[in-house]
Amino acid sequence: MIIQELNAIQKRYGYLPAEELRALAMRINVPLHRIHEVASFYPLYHLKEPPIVDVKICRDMACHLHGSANLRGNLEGYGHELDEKQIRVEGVSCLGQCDHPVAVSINDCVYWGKTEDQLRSLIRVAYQREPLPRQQADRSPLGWKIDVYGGQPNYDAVRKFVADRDADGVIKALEIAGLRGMGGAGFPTFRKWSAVRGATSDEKYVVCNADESEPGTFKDRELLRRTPHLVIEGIIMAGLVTGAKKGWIYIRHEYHDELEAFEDALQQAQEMGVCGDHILGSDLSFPIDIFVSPGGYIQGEESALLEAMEDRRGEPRNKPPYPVFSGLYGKPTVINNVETLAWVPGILKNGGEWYRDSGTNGATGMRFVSISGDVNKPGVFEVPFGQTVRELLELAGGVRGRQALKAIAPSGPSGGFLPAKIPANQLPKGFIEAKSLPADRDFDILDLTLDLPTLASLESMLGAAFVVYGQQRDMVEQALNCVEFFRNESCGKCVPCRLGSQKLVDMIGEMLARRFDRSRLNAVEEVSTAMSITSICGLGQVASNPMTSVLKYFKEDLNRYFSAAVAGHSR
Amino acid sequence: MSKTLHLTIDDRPVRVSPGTTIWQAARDHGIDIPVLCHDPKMTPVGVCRMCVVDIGTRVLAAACVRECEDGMVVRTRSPRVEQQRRVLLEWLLADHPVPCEREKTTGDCELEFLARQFGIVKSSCDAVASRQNGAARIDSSSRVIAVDHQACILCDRCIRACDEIQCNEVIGRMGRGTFTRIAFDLNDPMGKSTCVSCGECAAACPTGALTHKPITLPLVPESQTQAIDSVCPYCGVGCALTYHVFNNTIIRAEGRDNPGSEGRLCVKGRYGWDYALHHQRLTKPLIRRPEFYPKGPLSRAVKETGPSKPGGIVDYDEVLPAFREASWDEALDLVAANLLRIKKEHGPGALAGFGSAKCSNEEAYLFQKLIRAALGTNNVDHCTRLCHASSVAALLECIGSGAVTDVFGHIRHAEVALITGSNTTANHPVAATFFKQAAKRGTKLIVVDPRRPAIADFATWYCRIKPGSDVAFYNAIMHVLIYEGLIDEEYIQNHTENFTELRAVVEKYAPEYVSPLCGIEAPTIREIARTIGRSKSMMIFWGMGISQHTHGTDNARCLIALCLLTGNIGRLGTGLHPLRGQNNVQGASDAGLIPMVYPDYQPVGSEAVRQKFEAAWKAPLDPKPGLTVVEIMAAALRGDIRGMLMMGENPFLSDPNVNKVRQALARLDFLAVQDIFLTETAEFADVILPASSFLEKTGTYTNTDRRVQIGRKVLDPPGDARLDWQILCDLSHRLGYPMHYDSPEEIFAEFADLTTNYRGLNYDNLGATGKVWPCPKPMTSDGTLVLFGEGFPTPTGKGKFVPCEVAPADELPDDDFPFILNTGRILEHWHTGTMTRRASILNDLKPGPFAEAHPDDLARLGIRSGEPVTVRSRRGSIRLPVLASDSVTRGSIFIPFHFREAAANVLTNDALDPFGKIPEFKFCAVKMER
Repeated sequence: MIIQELNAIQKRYGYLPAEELRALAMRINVPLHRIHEVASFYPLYHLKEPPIVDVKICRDMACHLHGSANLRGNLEGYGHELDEKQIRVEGVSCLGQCDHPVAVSINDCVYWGKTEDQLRSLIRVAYQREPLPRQQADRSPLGWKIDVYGGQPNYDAVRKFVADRDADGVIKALEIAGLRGMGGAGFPTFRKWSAVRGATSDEKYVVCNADESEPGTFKDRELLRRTPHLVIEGIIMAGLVTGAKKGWIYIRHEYHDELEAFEDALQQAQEMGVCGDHILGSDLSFPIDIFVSPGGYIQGEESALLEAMEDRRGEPRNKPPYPVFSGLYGKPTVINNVETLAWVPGILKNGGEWYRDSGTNGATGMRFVSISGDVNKPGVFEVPFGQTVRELLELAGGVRGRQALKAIAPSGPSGGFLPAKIPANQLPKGFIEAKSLPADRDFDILDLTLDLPTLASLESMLGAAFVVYGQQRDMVEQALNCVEFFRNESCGKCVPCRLGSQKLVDMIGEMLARRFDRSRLNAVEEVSTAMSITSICGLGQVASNPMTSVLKYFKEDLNRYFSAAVAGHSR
Repeated sequence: MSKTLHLTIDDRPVRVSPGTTIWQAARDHGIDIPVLCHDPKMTPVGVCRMCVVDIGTRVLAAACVRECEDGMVVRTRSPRVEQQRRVLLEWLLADHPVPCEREKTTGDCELEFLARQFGIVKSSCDAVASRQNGAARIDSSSRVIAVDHQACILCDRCIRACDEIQCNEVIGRMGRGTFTRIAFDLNDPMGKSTCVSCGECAAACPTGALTHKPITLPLVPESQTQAIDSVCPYCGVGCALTYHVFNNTIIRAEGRDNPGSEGRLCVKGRYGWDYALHHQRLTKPLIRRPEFYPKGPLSRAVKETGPSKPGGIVDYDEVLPAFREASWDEALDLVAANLLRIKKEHGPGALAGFGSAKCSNEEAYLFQKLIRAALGTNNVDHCTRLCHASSVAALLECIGSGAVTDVFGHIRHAEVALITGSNTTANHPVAATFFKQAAKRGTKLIVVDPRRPAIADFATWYCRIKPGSDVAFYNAIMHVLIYEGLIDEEYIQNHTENFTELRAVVEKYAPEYVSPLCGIEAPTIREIARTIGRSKSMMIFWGMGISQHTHGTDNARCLIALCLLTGNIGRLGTGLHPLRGQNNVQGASDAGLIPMVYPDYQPVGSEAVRQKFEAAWKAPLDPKPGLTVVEIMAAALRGDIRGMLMMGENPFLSDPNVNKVRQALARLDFLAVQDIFLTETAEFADVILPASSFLEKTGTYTNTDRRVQIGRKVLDPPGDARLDWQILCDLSHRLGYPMHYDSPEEIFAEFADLTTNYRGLNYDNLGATGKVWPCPKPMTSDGTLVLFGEGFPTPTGKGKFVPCEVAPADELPDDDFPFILNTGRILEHWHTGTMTRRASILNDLKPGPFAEAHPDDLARLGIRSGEPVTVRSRRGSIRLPVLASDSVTRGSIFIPFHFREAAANVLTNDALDPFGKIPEFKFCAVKMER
């Protein structure tokens, strides 16, 4: 209610005038602070009238590697020249266009791959209050294996379920497939579904998490645009199997094309009668609705997402209880990532084994990976689990500019960095044993197979973002970029994340300014530990990973900043 | 689910029931886990992470939110855990302003306390610089609370104190990440927000972010103050509090836990006590100088009958010259001589006394004993006549007892609660917090009131009935209940009488018939009736909107019938609760400050009762019931009442039709006024006796719940001012009826012995939290919270339906006086303003009079909001600014009656309810002009 009302007010006025908010509070009988705490939390909302041109330049990972800071400086200068008051240029968190850096949003229209000159002319267009041209992405299917209906909205799984009502069979197939959450946490999907199915509650819900906001991650974007029916069928199946009352897709507001594609597909599905009331004429009903996120990376955290849907500040909940027991409005709720749900139709059509057996190098299953950073052909790729870093780099056309590889970030900023070569003495025992490696040899990262157990044994993480760093990169500087992202996106709820993320940024900043004494490195460890074991949610718990991986693997980069400090600037 | 969980905490085996948090389990077993954001009174939020414990998982668990699990192994003090706490404390301390405002004032900064426990003297890390994002650090706009955002650790305690405890819902978080701050409303300055200055946030804050501003002397840490446990002197909720005294003056009041108020306070209780220290306190007995006879008003505001009067409290330069200081002996001799002279010349019936519901049980008891035994008349009454007399009349008639049948806090057990004719958030603010809290937790509130009260924001139904249409509305509700079979037949059969008569009367009150009378759609009436009929429990709360009508008794009879009809009495979360106005209106009535009954409602007219009291008091007593407040004033005007004693009452402002009261007071042969200030009424006095304020004496006070609590002496009376009970004893002695007591306790013992309901109670067993009467086992029990589970104290043991027909108000609007005037109170002020207008904070918050009218009416009359208008009735006129307000209905005007310069009671009608003898304060015809 509040968020929809705020959206409507902002659509009408371009911002949220205080008088409108007071009137809203009266109209829907909620306290003023309830409206203000929401309105002031989400990046989508403006509490003051925005300037004529509001330019936001992505500052994270891939865009950062492609000089977004410079671009921002230049455009700021340009804005100043044109109209200091009416053109605002500022940074923004990842817009999900990492394959075409630098991503820029002008008055909430997202552009990617534009040159600085093109952006200047777009700014002029906006400044003259003329309509901005929309950059549109291709929707056509690409012949992926996941697309088992060849781009057609077949909904075979729904049809079969309406006929046989075999919920156990569906869950079994997911179990055999070994399908895991593709949002990063990797929780077995069948477990979530059976927990919610088994829960006794008057109401249950399904939410598809399409709030893809992690820097370097843009694979759901492609699935939503090219194969929306698979996502819809996945949501419907989750709903039917668990007996849920309603399904939602929670989608980030910057995904304009994806939202449109999904809306079109949803309308088609409704017309086909595969969702909504009386599915295919049966007694089964399951409506699906769209919830457009008012913004913020933290909304991707499932309980924060639920808070947003419940009209509150999108702050993660203390867990347990987990959403499968107490989710949306305190009811049992399945929350699955876009890709997780998109795999469901294929698994139900071809059987769990089809999915399970598609892995390689001993791993099971398939996934979509977004590759960005210092590569020649960034993009989204459908790959088997277990592929090596070498194979992925080949898919992406190799490291840009024939550089040597310096590092990879196998899970965006969350997992920290892995170096091109891991010295033997840095390899965890578990990893050496699991891979039966000789104990004294450095490990070439190109040989790393990308699957969940392997990355876990390496004390790292496997996400859908695969960001590549070439030899020229300074990993301390990259760590600052990643930690700044977490600082910028911290919701501020708990003390360790709210204060710790800023402390890390301050400390790395001092390092880069050569004002940080080596003796204080233990303070960095102290902050990292406190954040990672006392923060409420994953954001705070992983925020220090980029820096701790630098401390562990990139001592040369680090040492560069200390020699000077020791020489004269020590505190 | 009643399974017991077994776990270990710090190697100690612990057994808890499911749902217990680790923090609670540890505490129950003597292990304290440090917290900053947690308060067991609030929903845990787990944001400060100070309470993290090791449960063997990768990340630590926040003990305040994490529930115990079977087999859990918890470590609360391992080095890993302590290290994280230390780190977090260092961070918080790095941003913590020094010196801390909280340490400087109340001396209880929990952050600094914890830091000391961890041996951290000064944080070793740098402050996070970007916290404020350019926003102002200090907000000093609130009159009572200082805000320092730099000291805020975002523990959300203030937010929850405001949202969950007081339910005022003003504070929230704003922004995100490192820029998160607390904000008021739409990030308004606190003093310009909807904050009602209850101070709960500042009480809850663990740091210097929200601190109380000083009222008298600068605040000093608790360790340096003398803390005296007492109760609040204002309304009938009777909140428990502690006064902090430093250098012989109060510097601060703090909420104190008791089963009724649970430590909560409102703006009056927390910040409104400095009236006792006001420079206008009377310190010497005063005798009217001969040149100021014949008697009459002295100050311009009291003298003038026209609309325009000077504002503010009385100017002593105008009134004091009429009096000379005297010794106590001379003053008391004079009072005694005159009262005895009038008694001799005109008989005891020419004398009367007004006691006060602001005085203690002991004082009320002594006062009525003096009037009855020493003067020989039952002409003794007090302001209960002006508030719940009609409710009590109906309650006594229908169920044989005038008190509440269940305590206000039990609304939490009610499925439905009807709140009618009560602006609870203003008049019983702390009770309102329990109502709002219950509504948030699922109790359905039905709010019925012609003027929209703030509590309607929390209601499932708000019914804006037409003024005076209460009987019609409730008859329609009962009509639906009866005709849809939603009544409790078994209860009616076993516990009531006269049902047939009720059914016959309500038969014609079908919702469709009543709808045009009361202005509520018939389907809504039906829906509400069904909700009541289908609920398992309903409580009814009412206030002056029900009682202050010429048909006030009828209104109350309907509410009683509604409870009897549905069997909603005698069980937890059911029953009748007329919210008592004054802090001791229940007790003053219990103590016999009523013309027709002795203490404990024993009727004056009963031969046996009279003999009992004659024996106890060793004096002959008048068998005839006395006159009531408004009747006494009328008798004074006629010359039938010639001499009066007033203890703490100010009828000039509190009684209806002020111009008539003015004539009546001037006409009295002799008037003695015993008070703490020279009130409007005292201007007519022959002798003024300087009395002690609530804060200077010890005594018991009985709140709306029937909870008898001890108010304790905090200050010495100023100058020669004396304790009221001692003044009464000395006067009685001079009247030839010696009374001697060594202490209030001795008076209480005598009073309690003469009653059934107070018997067994004494200062020892009342203790810190008091007892709810009747309390047969005071050593072990808090008292009887729910009454009448087993029938009623009526002759038949049954409750009686008394059906009522619709009756019009005494004075209806017409072409000349087209508006309906409604009078009442506001949050910041108390009755005639004697106390609150001299309490610096309260006076600053609401310094002057105002009227409220509907914006449409103002537009029609071409009057702008804030413009001064003259409001005129057939009895007089006043001039005051009018404010546009949606809370009043079209065609009506609301005026608070606290302000002498625009006394609403100049306008009100002194027509009386025939049973309760209560005046119709809530309805008279007026006009409004530029």
